[in-house]
Amino acid sequence: MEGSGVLGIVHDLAKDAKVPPDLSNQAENPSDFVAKFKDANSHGVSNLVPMMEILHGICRDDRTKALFSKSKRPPPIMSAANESSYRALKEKLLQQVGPLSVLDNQNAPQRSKRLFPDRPYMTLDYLCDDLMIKGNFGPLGKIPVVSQESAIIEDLLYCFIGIEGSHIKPIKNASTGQVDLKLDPSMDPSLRELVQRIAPLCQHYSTIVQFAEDWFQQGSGRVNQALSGALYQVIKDYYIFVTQLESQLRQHELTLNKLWFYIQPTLSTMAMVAELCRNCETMGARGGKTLSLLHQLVTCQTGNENCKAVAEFLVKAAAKPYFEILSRWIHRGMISDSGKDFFVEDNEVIDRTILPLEYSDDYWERRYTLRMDQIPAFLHSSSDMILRTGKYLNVIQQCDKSIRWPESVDEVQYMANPDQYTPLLEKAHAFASKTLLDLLVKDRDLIGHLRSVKHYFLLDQGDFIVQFMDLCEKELLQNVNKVEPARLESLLELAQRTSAANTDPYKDNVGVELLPYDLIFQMCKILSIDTDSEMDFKTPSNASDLTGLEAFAFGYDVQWPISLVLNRKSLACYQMLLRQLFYCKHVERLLSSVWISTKVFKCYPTDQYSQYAASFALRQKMLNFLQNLEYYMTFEVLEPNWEAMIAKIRSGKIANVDQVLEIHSDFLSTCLNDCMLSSPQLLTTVRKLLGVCVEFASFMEVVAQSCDELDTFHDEVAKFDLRFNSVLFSLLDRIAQMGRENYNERIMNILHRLDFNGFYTQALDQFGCTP
Amino acid sequence: CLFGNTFPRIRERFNESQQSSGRERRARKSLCLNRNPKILNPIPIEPIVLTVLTVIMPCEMIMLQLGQCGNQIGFEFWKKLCAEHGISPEGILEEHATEGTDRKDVFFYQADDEHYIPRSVLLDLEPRVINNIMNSEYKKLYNPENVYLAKDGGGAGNNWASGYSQGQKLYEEVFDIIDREADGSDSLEGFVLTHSIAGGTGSGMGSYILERLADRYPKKLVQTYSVFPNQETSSDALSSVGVSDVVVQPYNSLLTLKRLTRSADCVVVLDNTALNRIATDRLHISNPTFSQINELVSTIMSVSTTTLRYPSYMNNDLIGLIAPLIPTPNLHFLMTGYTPLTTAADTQAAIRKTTVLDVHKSLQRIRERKLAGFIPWGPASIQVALSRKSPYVKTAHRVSGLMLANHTSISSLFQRALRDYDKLRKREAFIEQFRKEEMFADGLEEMDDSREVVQRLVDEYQAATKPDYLTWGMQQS
Repeated sequence: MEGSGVLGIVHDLAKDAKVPPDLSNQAENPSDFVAKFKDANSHGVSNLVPMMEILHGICRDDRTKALFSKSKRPPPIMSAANESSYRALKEKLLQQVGPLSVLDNQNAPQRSKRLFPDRPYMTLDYLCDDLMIKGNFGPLGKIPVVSQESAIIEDLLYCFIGIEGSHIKPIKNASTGQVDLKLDPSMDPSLRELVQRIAPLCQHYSTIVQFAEDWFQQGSGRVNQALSGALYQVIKDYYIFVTQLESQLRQHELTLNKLWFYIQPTLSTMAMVAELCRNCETMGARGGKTLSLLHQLVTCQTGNENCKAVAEFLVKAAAKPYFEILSRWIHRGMISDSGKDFFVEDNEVIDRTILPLEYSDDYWERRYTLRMDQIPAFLHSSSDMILRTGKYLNVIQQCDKSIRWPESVDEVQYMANPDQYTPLLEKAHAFASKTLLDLLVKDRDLIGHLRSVKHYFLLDQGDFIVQFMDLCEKELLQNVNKVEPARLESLLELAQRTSAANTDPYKDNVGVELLPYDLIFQMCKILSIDTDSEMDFKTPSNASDLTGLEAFAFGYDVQWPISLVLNRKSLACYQMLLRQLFYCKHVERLLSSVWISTKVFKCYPTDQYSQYAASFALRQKMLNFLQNLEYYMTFEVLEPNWEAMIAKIRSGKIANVDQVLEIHSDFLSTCLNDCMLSSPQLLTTVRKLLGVCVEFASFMEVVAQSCDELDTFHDEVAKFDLRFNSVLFSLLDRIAQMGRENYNERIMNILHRLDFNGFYTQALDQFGCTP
Repeated sequence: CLFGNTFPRIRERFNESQQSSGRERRARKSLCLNRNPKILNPIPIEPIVLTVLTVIMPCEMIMLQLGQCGNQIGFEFWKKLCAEHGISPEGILEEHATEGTDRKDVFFYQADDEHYIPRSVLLDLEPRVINNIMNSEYKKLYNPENVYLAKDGGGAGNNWASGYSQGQKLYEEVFDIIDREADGSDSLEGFVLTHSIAGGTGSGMGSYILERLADRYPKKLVQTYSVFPNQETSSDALSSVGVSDVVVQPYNSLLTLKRLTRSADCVVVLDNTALNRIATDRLHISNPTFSQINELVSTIMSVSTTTLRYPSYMNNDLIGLIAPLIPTPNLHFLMTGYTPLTTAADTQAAIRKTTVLDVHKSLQRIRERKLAGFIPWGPASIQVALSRKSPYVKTAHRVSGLMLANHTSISSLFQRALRDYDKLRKREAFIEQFRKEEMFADGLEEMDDSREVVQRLVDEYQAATKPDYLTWGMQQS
């Protein structure tokens, strides 16, 4: 009753290729059921799969079955073909069946990887339906042992090529896919013993064929497909061997013992190949991993010439498409890897032209990545070089179409010794890196760009910065919200045109940026990355309280491929250096303007003039500190490091762009570190000190305009002096400590500079403590 | 606003262009947007660009050359500057120098694309030196309107008082020129005055001009290169050319020193005695000529301005250069030293090869061995300002060094001036020349006052060597 009911529904609603076997078995006529199912499937009936799942569920649940059988008339869905009624049914069923899990995923993924799902007889493998096994064995036991032997040999030969015999039946274990030979129980025991020894050949054959057919399909990757092709070659040879055996049999020259003798080499070869196939299967190998396994196989087969030849044949064939991809990558910088076999992965997600800056940030790190598990063992040592080669070529492809590719390209093929690839890869790498390096350094003038960045970010072009500050100081002293970026931009342009910066060919790259955080925040944010306090620096707290000066920084737009070097990360470093230097310059200018405002005091009578002596001395102290700090940062840190960097880039010892990147980032981190920008305590102390200077400067400007409050003046100056001294001492202390801890010679220089005449040491001694 | 009054004109023009008509504003906007000049639409933008661009040049200096000595060293200075910037004697930029990254506009202004004119005013009361200059190959270099010769051409007769009073009389005419120059430069940083303190014009008229400059331009820097007279007394000094032949020199010096103390912001002392000694001892020139000495002076002058003309990280404006050198406004007399000192004729002098590293090393040595004494009342150090040098002038040495020092020992120079003055004054020698002038007709109070000022300067310099300098003034009063 249920069977026909089930069939009825199938008739109406069937779809998809999968028929759960236990479902079809329950039908009255399983083959009819399957045929109907296929028919429905080929006509594209909708919702077939979920329907089958429901049916499957019903079939396995006795309660529901009982419920169905109780009902007199067929359930309304029987004739209903539309989707809504099916949904209603599903709901209803779900309610009725209660906790039954409708989808049992353990049964769902049947071996779907059959090459010929519609034509099971097309396979070269055994057809292991239960039906065939049900068939009876021939009456072997009744014939004499000698005759038995030739019958068995004939059966075996059939079994060798995937066809079941009448006395020997292959049975496939559904879960493992392993084939066992079921022998006629009446077989002579001695023959049976021999047959059982020969049986593994059939198993190997089955395994190999199975995988050859699996991998023949789309989606298994080009390497596995190539391997499949090679496996078919092996099978073809094997067939020839079997044919030879058969002709021996026809000539009545083949005995079971002889057969056993003949198959010995074949058996070992097939065993090896089958083992390989199983390994590939268990590791889910494809692409480079398959090649690794094959390579391992080749290197293991030193003793067996025959096996070695087969293994080499396989690996050569399988590696062919792989080396095509590789060759294209290392000679043209392109990846055509539809099957995701290659170990370099192209992660292109965005169009370069839309987001040039972000793109170049990510490009170098993320655009191409290595799939570590896909690297063939024989290329493992040179994988990095291969990645870089293609990466360079890709950059060249993107920006210079006129590049002359080398005329002849050496064909790459599999070689047993990994070292043999090296000259070839090195040649390609040398070409790529040299071309790109030339492109960057000679064609696109990397050093010129760096020099231009130095003019603006490291304040190496002094007159420009003086000019710019003259123009912008008023604007920048306002709150950041009131600063008009467009105005700053035009002032910047003015400053450029009226200073020596005018001769800089890249001056148009510079722009003004107003950042929503100050230098200390920026630095702490960078330092806190990957630490517990990272969250503290997610959003700047006081963005609207900043003055233009605190928020100010230059920006620098560069074209691809220079933006590889001057990427956002390195520009952020430059910006931090700039902000520190810029602020120092600003404070120095404030103090200088105090100098100018107070220079008229020299015309005052002596008694009045001498009132100001302490303030002059304090101003001098501050100026001394600032100039020494600036001198230290520029002439002792930036300039020598800069010279060293340029010398390195120019030296000709640089082989590739990665080294340039490394040198450049080394330069930046050394500078940041030595400019005391990488220690929050040092930076905040320096900033505090500068803050005292700013306060003092504005105090003095007021005093210079109105000289009334002479009474409080002394006390005020004394207070400033005390504050300045205490902060300076703590700074000197920190620097001394840092210098001792890190053995940083350079940073000790600033101590000597600031305390050149021993003034502070003496002052400290008077306070009774030593630095 | 701190710097508001420094460039009123730029601001004005900028505001003008901001408030200009819609058409101009659009043009202005497109100027901002199209930073690549090739894309610029040339029609409406051109005039605005020009008005904005030609007006400002930062840290401009105006050079005032006064009297015989001032004009001579000024002449040598401009010669040197022309050579360093690749400008021909006619003021035309040489072809090889068009690509330079130096800043010519600190001392020159650009008349047209390749024509540079010194921002210099030549003043003298007698025609000899200026005529020499105007007859030299450099005659086309100067702006003829900036050359001022007193009409009677009688000079000051080496008399400070005469120079001073003539300065008073010529005030209008002279300051017409100076004001015009100052107006022509939009971010004028200051004035440089070259003169000698011994003669008549440079010292007397120079003193007057210094006083007026301080009045009229209180926010501008006034720097002087003052040649101090040769004070070697013995007879051998008489044989050499540099020796002063002016008998009233002690008076002149003292009166000028007062103005240098009061009205100048920075005085670079060019000690003729020392220069002569360098010329004879180091360069082995037995009888140094004026022009040889002047060349030394011009070398010092040009080198002390290299950080302005070849900008680098630091000291790119005059104030940044001198502010750290001058701790209190009165102590503003700087000494110079230069290595290797050579004249054009003597480039073969044995010079040890020096590198920047050597300089640093020797500084470290000075610090460690305490080779130099420093003020005890504040931090002080030897600052090194590195600068490029002109690529157009070939020198035998890779590194040359100029020292600018504020050293208390300079007071010995003033003490000597005082001593010389006292000697003459006691005898009332040659005082008649001064009494003839209006200023001294009623008495010599001005001289006494000057003596007091210079004496206090000496005292202050000496006090600066002591730890209690900061309270010295108050102790005095």
